Amino acid sequence: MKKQLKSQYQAKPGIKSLKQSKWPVTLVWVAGLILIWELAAIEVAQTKRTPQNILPHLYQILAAAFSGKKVTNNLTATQVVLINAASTLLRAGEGFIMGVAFGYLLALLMSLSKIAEKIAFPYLMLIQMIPILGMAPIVLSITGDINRSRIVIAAILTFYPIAANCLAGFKAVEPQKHELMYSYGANKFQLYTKTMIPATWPYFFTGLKISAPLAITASILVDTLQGGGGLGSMLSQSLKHAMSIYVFWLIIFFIAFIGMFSFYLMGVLEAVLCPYRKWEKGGNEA
Amino acid sequence: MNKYRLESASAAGLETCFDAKQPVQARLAVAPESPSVKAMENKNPASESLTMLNKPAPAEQLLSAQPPLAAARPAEPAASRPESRSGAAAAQFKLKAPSDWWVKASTFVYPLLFGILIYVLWQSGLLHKMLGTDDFTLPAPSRIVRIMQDNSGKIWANVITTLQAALSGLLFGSLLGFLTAFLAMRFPRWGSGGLTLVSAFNAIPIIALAPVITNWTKDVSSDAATRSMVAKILVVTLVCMASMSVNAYRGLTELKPFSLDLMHSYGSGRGVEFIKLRLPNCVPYIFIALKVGVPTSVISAMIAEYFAEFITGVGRQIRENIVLAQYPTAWAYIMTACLMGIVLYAILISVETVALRHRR
Repeated sequence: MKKQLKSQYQAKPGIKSLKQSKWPVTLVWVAGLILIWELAAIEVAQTKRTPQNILPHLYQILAAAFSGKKVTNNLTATQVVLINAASTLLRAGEGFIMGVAFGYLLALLMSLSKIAEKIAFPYLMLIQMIPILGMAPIVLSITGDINRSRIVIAAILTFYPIAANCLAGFKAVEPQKHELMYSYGANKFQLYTKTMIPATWPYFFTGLKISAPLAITASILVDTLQGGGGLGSMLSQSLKHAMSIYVFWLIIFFIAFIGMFSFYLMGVLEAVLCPYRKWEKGGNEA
Repeated sequence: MNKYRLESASAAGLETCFDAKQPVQARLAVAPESPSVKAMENKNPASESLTMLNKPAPAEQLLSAQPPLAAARPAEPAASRPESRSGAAAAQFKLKAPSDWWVKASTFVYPLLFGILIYVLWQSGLLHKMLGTDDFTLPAPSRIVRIMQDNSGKIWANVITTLQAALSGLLFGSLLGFLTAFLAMRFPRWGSGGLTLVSAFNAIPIIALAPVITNWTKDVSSDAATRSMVAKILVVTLVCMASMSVNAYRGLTELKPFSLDLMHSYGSGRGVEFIKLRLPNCVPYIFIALKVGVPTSVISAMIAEYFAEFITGVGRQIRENIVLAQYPTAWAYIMTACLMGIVLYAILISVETVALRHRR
């Protein structure tokens, strides 16, 4: 995200000074948010009987994270969150990888065959309209197993951004490149391995960045449908005061953090796997 | 091959020709000081930099969460940008190559055949065997339609509440997002930090937002229906804000080369510059944002209903009916939700076609 904003500024003079002042600006914004939260928390603490249900102080949430008090089953709040996060994130990851694989394969197929593209494209658009998260209970009843339905839903949600982005990537290859490969006498396999597939990488990573938080959301939402572990399940339990309400706040912050982290992780992955793309990023400001 | 390209170039209009013939000037016009362009010059001949110019910017589409539609149909979104024109040229080049009525017809025929195949499989029960499920969990389409007809009054009432939440959230979110973009454009130094923050919020799952906001809005009204509606609208607002702010910011700042200089040479003030240059330039980007926003708003309204106090809305009905093991009824609501999304999207596309008709 930051990289993009930076790159947007590259067209303008004075980029150096902006780059340098980037961090403090963001810091001030974050500090402002914390300030607003704390002010609201003070207000809530004075007017409400149970302020921790509505808006606890941030330090209270931090204290809950580090306190050794057992909230349930001889586990501290942090342990509860981490143990449940492991099962949720593992399924989200499995579904994510499956969705990525299928999405990329479908995009490849659509790019290889005109007929496949014509059949699949309208349905690819329709998938976006289907409330898959709303359908989570149905998937649960079809698969019958909460772990499997987590994987399936995470996969479906991951699938669309990847497929659509990679298809866009295949289509964005300039005709000049096709002509060049044609003049080299390249066959279809060579055309794809040398030109088309490398050209999709930036699009592929764009898709990854969109779908990684989605996969996690999906996995957590499926958790809320059934007991038996997982972050979502703990979320609804703590919301109903089956355990300390601070577990709820911890989970909320944890989810928010993981959502953003997964997004940045994909950016890091891109930077590591495709370092040679950097110069293109700066240049595509046309 | 060459013939097709010439055809497509002329069809795509002047912009493309300009790009193709004078890559160097175009490049200079765009980013005179961009270090990466200089790096490019060392590396590659001019033809490569043309390539670069023509390339849609994948990394930037990222926040729009919408590159799919935007880029998959290249002619559509950024009609004002040169590279998307050449994208249109490529699309036309592909369409024109076999030049046959069958090519046009098959665009509709193949998906239709596929749809009919799925329908037949579903109705005849073969799909159930393939998925290993039964007629109760996954009722036949005819049964779902019958249930929808029987309960049309109740379904309609729920559709109305969901639409209220989704559309007003979309409206507020888009306005706020546009305001953020405007501030980021006007005060780049501090505003861009805010934009970063807004996009970071975008990565927060709705699941985390919905229960918190339900908690916060307990005092808004003594009426449970009102306060859950407020909570839902707030959730949708937050979710829709991010894509609008990022896209609108792009629309307000990524202007055509020299256009800003032209405005300066006319001696226009900031207000005129905004209304005559930046705002019209922004319109296609607003539609990109809305194309993300419309489906997201419906879905996030439904998720927000899951956590809301008051039991109403299409999303909540899906859940309630599944809790009661009324799968056929739940399917009727799922179908309703899909229809809602599709109808809203179709409305948006037609509005866009009308609004952008002079830009094609």
